[in-house]
Amino acid sequence: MRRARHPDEQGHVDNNGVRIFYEVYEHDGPTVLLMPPVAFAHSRVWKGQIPYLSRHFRVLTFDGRGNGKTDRPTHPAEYGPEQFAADALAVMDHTATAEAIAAVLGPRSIAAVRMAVDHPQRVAGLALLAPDLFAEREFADAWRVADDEPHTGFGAFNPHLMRSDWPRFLGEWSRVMFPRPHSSRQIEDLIAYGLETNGETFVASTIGNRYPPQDEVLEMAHRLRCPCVVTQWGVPMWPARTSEIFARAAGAPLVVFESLGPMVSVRWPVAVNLLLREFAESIRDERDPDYERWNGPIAVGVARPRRAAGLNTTERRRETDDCREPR
Amino acid sequence: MIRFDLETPRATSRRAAGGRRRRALFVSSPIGLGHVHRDLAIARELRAVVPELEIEWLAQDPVTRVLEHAGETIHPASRWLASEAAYWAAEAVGHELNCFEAFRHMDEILVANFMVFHDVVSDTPYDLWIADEGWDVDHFLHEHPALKTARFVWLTDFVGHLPLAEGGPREAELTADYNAEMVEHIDAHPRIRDRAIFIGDPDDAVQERLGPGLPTVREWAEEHFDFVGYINGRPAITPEARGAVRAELGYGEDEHVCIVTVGGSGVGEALLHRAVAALPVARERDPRLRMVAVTGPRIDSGGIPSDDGLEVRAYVRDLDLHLAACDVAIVQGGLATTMELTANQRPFIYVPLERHYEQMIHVDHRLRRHRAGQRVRFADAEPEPLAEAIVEQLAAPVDYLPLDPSAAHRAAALIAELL
Repeated sequence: MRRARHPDEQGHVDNNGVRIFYEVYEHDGPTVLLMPPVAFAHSRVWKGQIPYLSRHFRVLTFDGRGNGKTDRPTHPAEYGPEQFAADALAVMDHTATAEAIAAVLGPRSIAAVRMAVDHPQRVAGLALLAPDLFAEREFADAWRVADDEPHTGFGAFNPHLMRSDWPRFLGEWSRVMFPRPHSSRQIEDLIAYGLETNGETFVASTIGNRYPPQDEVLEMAHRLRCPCVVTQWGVPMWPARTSEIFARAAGAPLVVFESLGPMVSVRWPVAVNLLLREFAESIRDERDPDYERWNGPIAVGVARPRRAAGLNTTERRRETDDCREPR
Repeated sequence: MIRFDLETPRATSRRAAGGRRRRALFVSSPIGLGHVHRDLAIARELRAVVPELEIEWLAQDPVTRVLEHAGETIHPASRWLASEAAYWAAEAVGHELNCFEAFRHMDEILVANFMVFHDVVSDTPYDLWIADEGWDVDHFLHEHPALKTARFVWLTDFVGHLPLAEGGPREAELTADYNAEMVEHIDAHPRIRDRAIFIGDPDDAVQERLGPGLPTVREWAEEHFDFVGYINGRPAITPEARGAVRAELGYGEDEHVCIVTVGGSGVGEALLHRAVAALPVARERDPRLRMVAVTGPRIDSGGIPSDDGLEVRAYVRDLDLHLAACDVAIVQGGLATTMELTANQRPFIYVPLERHYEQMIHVDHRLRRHRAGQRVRFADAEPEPLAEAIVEQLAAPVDYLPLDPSAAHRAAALIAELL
């Protein structure tokens, strides 16, 4: 009852023995493929987008391996970006989807990039929302923290905690995901999605995702042929800034959401809906996207913000270059 | 360079471009039918002040049925709205509806419906948007002020999510957090609501705090709202006219008519059964008692056993007339129905939905102030005490605070200033 729109078709598709759950929301094309995030969540993270986008486009989504109504393989080798891309292609084949505009959130973006590079005829556009495209030192540090150290905040991203106290990891990590105040609903949802799987599965999926080195990712960015848009969160405490380097290499616009955490589409569904619609329509209509269409004359008596959401790339680069570690 | 900036307020044009007629979009909440009746009253008054104003409605069932009946123009995009009424009905368990949690979990529907609103106002230039408890519109305009491109009027009859003791510290913390967000929204963007109109008087605002470190509801509402008094959908009938109305409805001079209604949503079937169970006991004390139980479209009237003096009706046309003409009523604690009875100076028993802070706190406060109705907790609504309350109410003198009939006009005048 809580859904605003129910799928027109749902089911499972088999990809080499792993059953993948998918949903189709019928409408005229193009098809927007909403790819699932990492395994602590599943396709319901798109609940803010599906009802809107499906009024304008055909929408396809599926639960990623490791959560939701999709199988949960146990070995890390089952969670590589190539398997994830193959899942997406299997769902597209099964639903007679020749090509789709793919939107993806977070670390599994690398699979979407690989799919776009390896199967350019299947991917008509690529929207990367707050992607972690290559390993950040901070992630690696958190991952390596010893068992007896406190796992709080960013340090919660640690296999010891995931395995020993999965609910506590979810509690800690969901607060990292949503740093903006008044996010209790989003935090609750994320914990609920997470409780549908377990720490062991998540550890396997994280190891399996195999963050490639930066050079390899940027090389893929150069090979991208489809239109692309990249968003980045804008929380200073967050160290990862992979989006910007990727956007620059891909020649794609970068949109920064100030004061929001990585799960921009969940915390600011309206903004991301408008962004994705503009992106998809620009591809459908073969025109340049206009992400400034909402920037009318500023209201009288309102101070121009010093830093609005969506800074230009140059400014952003200047801010972040100093704190990035060479790799 | 990209600036995808929805946070900076944008200029809104005051005058219609190209000399076209001025146009307003009215968003009327479908959670209960109370909103649409008062909204129609406001619309009528607004047209009297601004005769050339075109009003279109973005609304959903059951509100659209009332609007169609009134000959209003419903925007075709209304069909895209996700059903809030069905959602609320499904959230209720027996006579219990935790309205705060239900509201929180309606987040997906609120986003979906805001996007419908946004599409509508992006495709058609309106001079004015009016939202009567259109929570999605108000919330997301404050989240993304750049999306406000017309004058905006916010109407509500209560302010603040309030915790109930049963909810424990978690509910206290969460309600305070939601209220803090509202306070921050208004502080950060005081010009999103060009008018904020409270459907009531300052005394109707409760004295509870919005949360630790936050003002009381009354303090904050007085600072941020215009108070127009309560707007009743239809003028109250006079005591002199009541006899004729009763005769028209088939109610005899010598019978004591008790109307039982729980609204059209399907929430409250349990109360219908309780009321019906109390009838034989009540009729032992007052043989002239006649009970009319109105099930509404979503409750199976066949599930209610027949009894002497009982009439079960699935649908009653002009229910408000029946309420205005009855001798006593048993209703939920919803504001519109209880105030309809208050306006008509009718005795009534109200049984607030459990865990429903609006009915338990806000409406209850307002009814006490108006000296109207007798509150009975659902747990106490057993045949014996309920029968006693019916008989008591039939005998009790009615001395309710009168309502100001010019409230709708006052609201319309405030809105018209924006055009």
